[in-house]
Amino acid sequence: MNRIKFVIRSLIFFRRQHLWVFLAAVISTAVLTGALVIGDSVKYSLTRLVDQRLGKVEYAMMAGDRFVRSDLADEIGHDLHVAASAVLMTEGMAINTESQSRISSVQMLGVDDDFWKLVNEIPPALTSPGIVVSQNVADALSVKPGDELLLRVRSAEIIPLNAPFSEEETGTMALRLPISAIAGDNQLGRFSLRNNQLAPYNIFVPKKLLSDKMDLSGLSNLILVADKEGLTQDALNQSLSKNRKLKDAGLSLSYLADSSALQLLSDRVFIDKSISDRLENWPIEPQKILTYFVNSFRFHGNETPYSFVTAASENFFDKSPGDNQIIINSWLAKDLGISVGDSLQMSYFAIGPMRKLVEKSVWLRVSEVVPVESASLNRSLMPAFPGLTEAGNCRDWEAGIPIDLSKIRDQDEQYWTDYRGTPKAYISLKKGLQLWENPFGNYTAIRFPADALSFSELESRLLQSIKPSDINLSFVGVRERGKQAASNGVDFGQLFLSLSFFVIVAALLLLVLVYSLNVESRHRETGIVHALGFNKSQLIRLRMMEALPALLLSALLGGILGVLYNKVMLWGLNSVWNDAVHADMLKMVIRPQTIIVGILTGMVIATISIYVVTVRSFRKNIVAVIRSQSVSVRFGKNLINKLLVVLGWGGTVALVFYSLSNALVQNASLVLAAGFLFLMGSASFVSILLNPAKGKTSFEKNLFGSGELIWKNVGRNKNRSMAVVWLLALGTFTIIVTGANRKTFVNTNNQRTSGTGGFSLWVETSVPILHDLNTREGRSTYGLDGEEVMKNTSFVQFYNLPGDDASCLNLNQVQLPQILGVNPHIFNSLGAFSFSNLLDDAPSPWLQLTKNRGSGIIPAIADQTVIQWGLMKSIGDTLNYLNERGDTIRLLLVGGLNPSVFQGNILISDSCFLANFPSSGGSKMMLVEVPPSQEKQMEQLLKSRWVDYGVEMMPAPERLAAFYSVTNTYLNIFMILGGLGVILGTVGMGIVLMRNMLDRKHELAVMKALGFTQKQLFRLIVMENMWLLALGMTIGIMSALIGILPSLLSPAFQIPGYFLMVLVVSVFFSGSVWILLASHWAVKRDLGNELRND
Amino acid sequence: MICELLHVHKSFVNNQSAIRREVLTDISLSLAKGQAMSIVGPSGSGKSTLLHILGLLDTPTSGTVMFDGNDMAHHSVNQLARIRNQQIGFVFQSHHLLPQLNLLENILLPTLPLEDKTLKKSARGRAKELLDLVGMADKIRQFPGQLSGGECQRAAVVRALINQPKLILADEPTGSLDEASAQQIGQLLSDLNHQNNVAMIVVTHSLKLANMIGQVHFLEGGVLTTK
Repeated sequence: MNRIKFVIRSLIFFRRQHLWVFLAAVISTAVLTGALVIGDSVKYSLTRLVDQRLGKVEYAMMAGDRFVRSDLADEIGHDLHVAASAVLMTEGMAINTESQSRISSVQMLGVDDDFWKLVNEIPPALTSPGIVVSQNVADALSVKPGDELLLRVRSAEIIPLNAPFSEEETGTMALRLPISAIAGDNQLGRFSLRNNQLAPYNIFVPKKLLSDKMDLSGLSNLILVADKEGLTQDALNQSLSKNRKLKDAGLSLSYLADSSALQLLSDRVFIDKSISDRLENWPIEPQKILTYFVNSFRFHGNETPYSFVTAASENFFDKSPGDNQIIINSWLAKDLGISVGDSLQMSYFAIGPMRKLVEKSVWLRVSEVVPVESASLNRSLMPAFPGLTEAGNCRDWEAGIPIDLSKIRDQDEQYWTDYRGTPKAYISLKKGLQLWENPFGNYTAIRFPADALSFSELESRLLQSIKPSDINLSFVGVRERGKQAASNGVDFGQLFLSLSFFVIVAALLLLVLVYSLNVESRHRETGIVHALGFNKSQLIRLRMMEALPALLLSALLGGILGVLYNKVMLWGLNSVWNDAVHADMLKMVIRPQTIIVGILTGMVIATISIYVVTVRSFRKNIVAVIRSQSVSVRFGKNLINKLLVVLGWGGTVALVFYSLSNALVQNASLVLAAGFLFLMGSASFVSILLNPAKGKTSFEKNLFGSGELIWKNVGRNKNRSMAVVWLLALGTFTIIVTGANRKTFVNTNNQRTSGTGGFSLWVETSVPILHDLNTREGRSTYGLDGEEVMKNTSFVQFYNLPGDDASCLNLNQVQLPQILGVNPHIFNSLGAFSFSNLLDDAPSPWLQLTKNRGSGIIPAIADQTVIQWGLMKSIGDTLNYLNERGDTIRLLLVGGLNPSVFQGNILISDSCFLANFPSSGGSKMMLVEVPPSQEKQMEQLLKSRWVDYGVEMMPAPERLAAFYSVTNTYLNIFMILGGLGVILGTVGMGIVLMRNMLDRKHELAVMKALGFTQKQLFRLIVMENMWLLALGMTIGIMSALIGILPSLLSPAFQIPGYFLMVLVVSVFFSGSVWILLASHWAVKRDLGNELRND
Repeated sequence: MICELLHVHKSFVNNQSAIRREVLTDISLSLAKGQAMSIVGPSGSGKSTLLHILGLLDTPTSGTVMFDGNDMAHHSVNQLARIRNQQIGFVFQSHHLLPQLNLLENILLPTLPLEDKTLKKSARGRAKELLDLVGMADKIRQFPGQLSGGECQRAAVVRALINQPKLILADEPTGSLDEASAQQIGQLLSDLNHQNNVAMIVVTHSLKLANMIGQVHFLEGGVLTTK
């Protein structure tokens, strides 16, 4: 005999006991490993999605609202010997005219063959000239190759929509085209530059066709570059710098023979400030020109309407006017009857956000009268305003401002015919900037003397001075960003470890319980072996060696079963729990290292648990162990329990009363605490009841019967009994409370302070709305005037800079969330929404958005959950963005909103937004407030009038509910897994019961000897344990009902009553089954041996 | 006769080794009403096995067990339990009082299986009398953990008598007691036999106790003899 042999013999002899330990350890390891594998699988799926989204694309240059030459992609490609593709990207709508089904927001991509070379797999087979649609478009519109689609494509806006005198309408253009192919997921059908698992609706249009239709021939706003070994972002940006032309910055240089000057113009009319700033310190001082369209000149009752006025730098004039002076041409002088020294009033429109026009005027003294046209003063000073330049006569003008045609006289028409846009007056640049400075640029032209530099020299110098980054043109590593966002997104491994917490803990508790019982049953053996000379360390080592095979095997099997657990969880996420991920693309991936980690972790935890139990069991006195002295009933002091009862029940009453009188839903956490206090008090009360009675005996009370025997037996081992009661009570309480926390926002009152801000509808359009919809003009422009429902309707419109979706619907890490420009004064005056966290404790938190925080720092607000979980930041942290000028701006998080309809967005004030992103014209998102009774009517109206704007809307409560769906799904998962954990706990209860029966084997034998039948004994044991089961669950249910009072009384919560009932019944059923099985086992045993003294 | 054993054999088979061990060999005995008998034998001689067969807790491998003139072989398990409950009282070496019940409750425990409610009611009065008899009426509220070994064993004897059995079976009733307590128990058993006219079989390895009870039989090697 040696130790190994002893261990093997013990292992074989006690194999049944080790089997239970093995099973418990398998469960805990399987769930733990499975949770880790889920994390890998989700990460892999998101990373795989990046490959699907981007194909071979590694870098991208997004020009935003600018356009570059499509040839630039070829030039860079040749320069670096890399595959590159120029794409024209815009938005639009797609309609299946046969079925009238439509998609309101579609990503339209003008592509050519170069694009399809970036596909990972074989590109879609283009059977005929036409469009290629993504699979989800085909599914949504029920179309196939050969079918026709009507596309409404948003028109291009070279000139920013908000720029002065840009065209009134952006509009859409219609294209009816056949579908030539469907692009699958691996054929760039999911193409997107946004890090999101949701697939966009994509339609790929032949680039030439699209660009011609949009009047953007030869232009693109996106360049994609494939990967190549050694290719870096810096190399690409250097190539961009090397190959770009002025045209790529929207600039053009021309020679003006009349004035012997080289003139620099912008396609955007106004030359970007970042560009003009670069020319400030040139050795050759250019002439800076700002030409504006004014409403009128007035002098002594005479009025000259609608004229161009040029403000220019001093070097433009022979004799520069003073800051309050004006040079007029002879035509104007004659028309007004004005001469040098007189003062005229010049009126003009200052164009603000949402095309808000404010007419202003200024008095200026005439300093000189000049000829209508001269070498420098001529029609070349007029900027190329699209609505004006091509107009045949004044009545055809579309200047983006209201033109009162009645004011246009014959002489005005004649002037236009003779001189077109030749300015009628000239002021100093300083004055001009004072009146007409706008965020799009200070100058409409910059002129250089032709004798100072040749055309090519100037062009070269300009290209050297103006960096692509000045206008935010640069290549970024989209694949790397995407992989990073995918890898650092929601950690599903950790998430599922948390969600599976109950199951893991229950399995470990089961393991500990089973092993403890095993140890207890071998106490006599332990004592004897110890008495024979083994010390404690040796004994512990023997026991651990014996447990090792079960631990090893359980870890291995647990690892394998963990893969199965993961498969089940992924199936759930792809189907019934899809609300948590909003995608069905999750695929399983098994990484050996994760499995190993899971196996090792499971084994370590199980080993530690067993080790602790083993060590603790050897603390008992050896003699007592040998004699296996039976448990004697202990008379615990009831004082602590009585205190707990008073605290528990008293606290419950106090908290519930307080909450009921102070808005129950707002005090949900207090009521939950009340529920837990009730649980504690009730459990303590039961503990008091289980103490042996010290009062009158049953003899005197005439009460001793089966009922009392049962109750006394329950209290025999009070610690074990109370452990069962606590376990069941806590488990039941947790399941119900978790399930009842599911929030919904449907059919609730839309309070101002709620997440909807009291608004009725959330509306989005593909085509921006340029006007303020709260004005008559705005409503008239968009077909809403004269409608009854509009009388009580108001709109709050936002600007938006597209970015990543930072809401809980996006599983990827968010790097640059979408920015919304909002008017904080509106929300402040309404008291709309509520804040959970603020940087500064101020009475008007919304107005924090207007507070000056220093240069380049912009205050921002977002949902607190987005800040904390989406961005992994805190109040006071900053987010860095590049504005349109390429400058870095820092968005300082000054407020965290309670869950709101803004989830996923960063809010800044509209003034800060326009100062940094002026080109983001119009609003594509808005909140609408309309009386509840007219809500449907409003929806119908918008749907019918805005069909060509790609309108999509939903009730604001529904939008909020969609965000809650993610949380609710996680709660569902937790509830189910928690329920499984509690059911597992009932297995433990069954094992405890068996152990109790082992302890009481002598007692049962005596009762049998005293004449109790098997049936009577069975009934006694069952009733004892059913009491425990019923007590535990009743306490849990009652406590939970208190804890979920807000959920019960508020329609804001959606309790899955049926599901909870099934779960609770399952727990009760499982517990009952185990009780019956264990009781059956206990009475069937041969009890005669227990009485034997041989 | 209260109980009779006719040519009873009892053997056990070891599950692992399949070796059959003969514990009782051709045992025949009979006990009349009010008669007392003691069985003496060394450890492992089969005394407890014999007592369990007499107490209808176990069945013989062969032979006949008669109780009150009836062959117990034709009785169901529940019928045997009823007979045990109403006709037989057990006293064990270890008192086996339930720790969660007080003294009185332990004594009343055998009344729970009774179906006859009048019997149950009368048991309460009898319990008091019996406790008076053994001098423990003042300890009815105490729990086994608060009583001495001798007191517990006296309580166990009272418990055995609560249903007024015809037969008392005591398995080493003094085995765990000191000299004085053992003497007390022995005397108590003897008094009960004489005063209550209840048949009694006491199994013991103590000749002193055996002599206090009645006719002494010896059990050795599974064979019962009178020497």
